[in-house]
Amino acid sequence: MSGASDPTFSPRSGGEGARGIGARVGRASKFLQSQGPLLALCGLVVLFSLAAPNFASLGNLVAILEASAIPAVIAIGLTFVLLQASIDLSLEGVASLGNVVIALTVANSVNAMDIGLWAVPLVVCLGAAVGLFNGLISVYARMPSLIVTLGAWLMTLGLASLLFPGRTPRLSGDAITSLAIDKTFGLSSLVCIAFALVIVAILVEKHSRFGRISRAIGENESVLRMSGIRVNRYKIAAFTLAGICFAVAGLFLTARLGLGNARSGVGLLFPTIAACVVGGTLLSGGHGGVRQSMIGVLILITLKNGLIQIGVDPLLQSAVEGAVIIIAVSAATWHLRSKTRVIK
Amino acid sequence: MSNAFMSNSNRARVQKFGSLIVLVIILVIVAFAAPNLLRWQALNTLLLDNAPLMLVIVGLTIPILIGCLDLSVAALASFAAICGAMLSPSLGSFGGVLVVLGAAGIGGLQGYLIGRLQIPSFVMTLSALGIFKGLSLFLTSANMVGIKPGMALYDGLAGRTAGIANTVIVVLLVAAILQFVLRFTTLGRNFYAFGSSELATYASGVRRDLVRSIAFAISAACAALAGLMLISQTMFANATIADGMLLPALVGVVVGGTAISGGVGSVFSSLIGAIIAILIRVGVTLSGFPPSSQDVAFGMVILIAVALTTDRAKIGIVK
Amino acid sequence: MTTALSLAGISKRFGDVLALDDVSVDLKEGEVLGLIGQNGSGKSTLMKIMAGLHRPDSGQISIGSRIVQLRSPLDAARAGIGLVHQEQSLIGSLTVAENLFLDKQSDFARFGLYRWSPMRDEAKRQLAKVELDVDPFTPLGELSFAKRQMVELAKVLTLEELVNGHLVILFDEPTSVLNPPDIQGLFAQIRRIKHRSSVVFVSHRMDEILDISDRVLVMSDGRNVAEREKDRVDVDELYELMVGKQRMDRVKRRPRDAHLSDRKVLEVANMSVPGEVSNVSLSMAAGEILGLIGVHGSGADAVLRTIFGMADKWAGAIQFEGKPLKVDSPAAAVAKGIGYLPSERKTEGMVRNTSVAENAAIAFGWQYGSRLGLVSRQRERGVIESWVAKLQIRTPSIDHQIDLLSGGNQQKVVLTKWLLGNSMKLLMLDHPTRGLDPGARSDLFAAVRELADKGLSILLVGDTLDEVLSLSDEILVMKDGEITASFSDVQASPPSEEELVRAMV
Repeated sequence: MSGASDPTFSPRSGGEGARGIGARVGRASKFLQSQGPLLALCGLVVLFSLAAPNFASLGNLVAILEASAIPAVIAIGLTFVLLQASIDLSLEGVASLGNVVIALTVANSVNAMDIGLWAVPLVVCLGAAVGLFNGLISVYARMPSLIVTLGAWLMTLGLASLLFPGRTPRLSGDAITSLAIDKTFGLSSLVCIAFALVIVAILVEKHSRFGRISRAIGENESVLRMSGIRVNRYKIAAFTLAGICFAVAGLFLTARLGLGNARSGVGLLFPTIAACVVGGTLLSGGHGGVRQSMIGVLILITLKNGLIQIGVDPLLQSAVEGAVIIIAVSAATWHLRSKTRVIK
Repeated sequence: MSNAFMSNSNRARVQKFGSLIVLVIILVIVAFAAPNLLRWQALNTLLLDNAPLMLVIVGLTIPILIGCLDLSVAALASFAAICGAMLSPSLGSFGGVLVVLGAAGIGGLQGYLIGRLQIPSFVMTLSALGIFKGLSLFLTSANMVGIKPGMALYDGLAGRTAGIANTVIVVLLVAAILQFVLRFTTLGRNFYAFGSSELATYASGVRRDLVRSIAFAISAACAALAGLMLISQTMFANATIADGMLLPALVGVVVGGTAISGGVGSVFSSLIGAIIAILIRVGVTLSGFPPSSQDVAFGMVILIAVALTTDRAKIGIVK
Repeated sequence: MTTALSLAGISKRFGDVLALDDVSVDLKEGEVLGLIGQNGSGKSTLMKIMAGLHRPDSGQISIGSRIVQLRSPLDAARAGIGLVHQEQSLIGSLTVAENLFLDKQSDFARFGLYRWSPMRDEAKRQLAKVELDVDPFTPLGELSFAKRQMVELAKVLTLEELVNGHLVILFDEPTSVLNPPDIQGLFAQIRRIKHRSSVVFVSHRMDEILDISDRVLVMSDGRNVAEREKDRVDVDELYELMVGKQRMDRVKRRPRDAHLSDRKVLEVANMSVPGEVSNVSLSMAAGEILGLIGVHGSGADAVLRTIFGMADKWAGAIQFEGKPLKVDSPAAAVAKGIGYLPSERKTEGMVRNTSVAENAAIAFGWQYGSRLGLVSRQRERGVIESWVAKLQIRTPSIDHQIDLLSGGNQQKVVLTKWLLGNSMKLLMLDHPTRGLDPGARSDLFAAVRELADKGLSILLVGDTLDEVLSLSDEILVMKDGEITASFSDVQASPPSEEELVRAMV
């Protein structure tokens, strides 16, 4: 899964100022790839606003943002891993594990533990530990990240089940759940925190060595190694960061649910990966970023929401989403098509 | 060409027999922890219950062999079960046949689109998963659909021949046919070559789109048939009936020794992987560990099995 | 003038091939040394050794008076040697500034965060050295080739601050992707930096070498055959020197029967491939060997690939055996009886991690099986074994992994793949003897001749002059996407090597 090279810059036609139909279509496709998702989002918003009176209401827009909080946090972690052209499948397990751990360590109906807000750093460390594991194994045992994180997914999910006591632990205090209930400007603290995390993530992506080099790793890892850059460290860091984000998602889940459920994270994997890819953060690495992934998340959530608003059978939702993803990804990578390109 | 753990020649040996070794180890562990499992009756029931999963694993081997992924198999199995059930009043057993053929067509379409649109199989089959799930929910209105007894196909699937469940026989038959194709036909040779070096295979005149389409058609048809098996066992179907199959199926194929990068593996090794997956599932529970330990065990087995058997040199930069 | 860089007695072998044979070069301070030679002359290898990308088997490198070990490009950088080559050290998704300082980013980052202002200022300063006026924070991928080249040069020039002295700047075929105005721009920059660094400039284009170099070094067959000061250069002499020992061992092929020339098997009219081929037309008769030759980037290989259906976009018309040919994939070409031996053997020629037998059978194994698609390995093996013997493929058995064979033997196996077909009409060979030892080379030559004698048409893109001169009935020379010369009846009245090189370079 190495980065895609750019065939529009063919030798004799040069880069800037290339003329001819081929170059124009190439430029249009490239434009689509960079701005397409944003345009698509705007298009969706406009379409749904026209088609359904309730869509553009404040309440509904708030609902969209609320529904985006958890996927957004997950997508932050996924983005850095995807930029490096790796993948992390362990998010469902880590989120569920985080959920169960918090539910059992903060005032609950099953045991007498209550570490209050210390649960947050606890869970963050947990996520970091899983991420570290993923990073170390995939880098030093040289195994595909797909396999390593698949294993981690299963192990963390199992761990969550193992820790789950016979009955559901319900949070008795409101230390954690207040995050979901307290509103600032009509938005829950979860949305505010998610927003803050997104801003920080974008800054990290654009201004830190980690962010910039992660993108470069996805494009051409060998050149970086030859330049003396410690690529392994950045890879491990990305997985660790992802683990932390997934654990934070688990915290969010706990705040929303008010209880611990060993399978609370199930179902988050595929929509979030799809969101990243639709937004432009390709699986092949070196493309996209946090901003793009967020647009992708908003697109999918808006789509979900809008379809319901216009009366499409909610049961058909995932079908429409699936079709949209195929179209979106094809459009974004159309200009990269070539007979000698290998796609797996 | 050695990996992180062992020398070249040893690794080659482990690669060949890796899955068998793992199977033997697991059998030994199970023999100690849950000896009841190894009795004939228990094994028979075990295989019967898991025949659909085994069939999915057998079919999934092919796309993975060519280096792709098919994430839609479980959702397709549910969808096929639903369609089979819904068609049964009017078309009876023939409906089931149509469903399998239709699934093959859809799988072929997926494979074709992956090549033409040049989008990763991960994304394509993920979307297909969503489409099948949505359609399943829609058609059943999130409810169950049942079938009535008395239809040859479903009764046949549910029955036994000479004491062995028919579903198991079907699985073994399909596995044998696919293994035969892999070993003795041009198509099988093309599958392996495609997985090893797609570009060289393409430049040798092999029809890339066709090979890919057939690979996905096979996994789809097997998934659909597995769905029909499910419904013959339970007499009903709903949108989530096969949901739990995707992960164990991936595990089964990978642990069995079919490399995720493609070009290496066989249906036979997938069967072994299937048995390993099933034994872990059941063995864990019967040993007195909580069922959730299954997942933990699965996870560890995957990591160890792949670590031992992957050829790092072939992959180059590992992502 | 003092010596900036000195190489003495450098030899380098790759597998069976001796790329450099006891080469000694002295680069003087402030001079531009032009390296010229054909494919396989060793000039690229020499440059890579200077850049620290390869380590010589024997010989030593010294800078000034001290001996240095260049184990990696980083060592070379520390010694003040930098290589400008086509984009292999730049990252498109990073900005110009980040690329400039790829090796030394810690200078601009505190606590992991970049300080953009200092980086921008420093980048502007470095870019001024090459008179490149772009925003340092432009993503590299948005720049034209010419400007990217300049960024590469600027990146090398950042070594000036590091080394505190004279730099040695190596240019590896920098002009093959530039337009004429950009080439002049590059040359202007080279002339500017000359006074504080020394330059080694590799090119296959004679006119450029003569334009920019102070001294010219001619390489041939891995040896340094001549050095000439610029004003003492005789172009004819240089061409002659470039040809080297190849004129020695050429086995004459007997002239072909005239009657075979009537039936045209292939006719290409006005083929154009964007960026590679420009209005090429050719025709071949059955049983003829047509040799194309050109340097890297001439477009000859693109012609073959287009006929084989591997081009994404092309214009023109092809007639095969008298009928219009529409191929949009290799499968279509193969079905018509066309085969192709790619130059990229490892990625496009052989199926990796697979046995010799399976590789040989991948294209036409089905012709030996039953109609149902069943494979008959028994029948295949018989044929394969006989070809293995005939082509003298050295392998313990045909079940041996192809990856373990030497390059020459791998190439022979890939050739066997096409020889298994029983209705092949045209076989296209793309640099077939690249990287092969002399023994494998002559084996291949013999095989190709025999095939042509049996009526198979061969379209060949040759690596070396002797290849096309030994084998071809007709030769077409290509340069920059066009045909620059054609010679017919080659076996009876061959063109001189100098004529060929003149049209190529």
